[in-house]
Amino acid sequence: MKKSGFNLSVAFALAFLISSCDSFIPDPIDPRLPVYSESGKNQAGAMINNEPFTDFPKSGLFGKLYSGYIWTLADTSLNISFNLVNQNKANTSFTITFFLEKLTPEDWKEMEKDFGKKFRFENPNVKGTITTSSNNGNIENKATSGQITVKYIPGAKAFAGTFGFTAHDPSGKKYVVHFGRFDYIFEPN
Amino acid sequence: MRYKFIVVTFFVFFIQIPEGFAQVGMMVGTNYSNVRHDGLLGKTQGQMSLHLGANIEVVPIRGIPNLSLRTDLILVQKGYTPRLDGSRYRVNLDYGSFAPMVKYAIGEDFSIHSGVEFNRLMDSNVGDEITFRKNEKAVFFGVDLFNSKRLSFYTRASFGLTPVLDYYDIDPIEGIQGRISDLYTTTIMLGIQLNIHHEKIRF
Repeated sequence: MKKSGFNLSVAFALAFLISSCDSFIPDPIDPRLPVYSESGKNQAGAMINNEPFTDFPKSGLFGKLYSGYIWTLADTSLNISFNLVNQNKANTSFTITFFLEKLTPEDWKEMEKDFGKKFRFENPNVKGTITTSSNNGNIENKATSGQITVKYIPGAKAFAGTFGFTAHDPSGKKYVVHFGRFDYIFEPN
Repeated sequence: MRYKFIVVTFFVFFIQIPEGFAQVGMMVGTNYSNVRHDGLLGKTQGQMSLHLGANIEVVPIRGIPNLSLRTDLILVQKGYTPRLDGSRYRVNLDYGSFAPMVKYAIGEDFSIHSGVEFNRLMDSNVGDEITFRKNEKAVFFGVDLFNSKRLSFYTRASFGLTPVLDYYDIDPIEGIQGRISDLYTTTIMLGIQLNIHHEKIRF
């Protein structure tokens, strides 16, 4: 009996540790979204059709989990992707992806300056999508207007930035993405 | 630098006073706080929290026994509560406060006081390390009741003189437009003071 009580305590302690380590850092103006940061906090958030969607590190058995993924190809392209979930509607999530092509050395320099470099979706070398998942598969909706600002922080080995855009799905449904922000560690291969 | 100079000056001033010449008190109470702003936040509500601290009080001029100098060291939680989509989100700002003041006893059981708070941010439940300013200054006015008794009561209204928020001005679509400094605290405190030295002692 004593042993099983001990095991139960250990199980409770582990469950507490695992459940208590989520690290969502709220924004001081809109606490539904994560704070805008430039230090590799591995978090993102946006208002999508006026509802808050977020991604932030959650503890799992194999460490902290987050959805953000950033990769570059020959320093001429940059791809940023993450999943945003509505905490009040657990089944509602979107995948946000940005793909920047034909980047020049000047672009990279500007990404390190001030608040970063702004890329507009009207530019054919800049793509942004918001992807919805359903039983019928994934639907990728392209951003038709708006922008993404990317800041590269070499000291923190992180990419941070803001975004806002409008996209339409094939049925004509509109997705308005406001107050977007992200801050992910970049782990080059 | 100026902040440190003021703090050090007051500490040196009070250290110079022999121990028996000061009236010492412990204080605890509740406070209501909110922020004033330029429309940066939508609807905000105030919030109730607690404070506790200690103080030292001296009468510097023998000929004016009703006039005293007092300094409070307080741990106080300020903050605000934005209301978004019908939900409330509590934003806490925990400060260590150094508050020198002038106090004047109008009667035996009634006195008024006024001074400046130098607040140092110790913790917050929102924001990054650089989201809120580390230092805040505020001016305050208050009254004390039954100050000559072992237990006395006080109330105080404090108004922030410097903004507490240093953050990014984020446009919904266009992203960061620059930086903003805003949010000025307003705090009303109500509490009980235990006077450890009951008598007001002069130099």
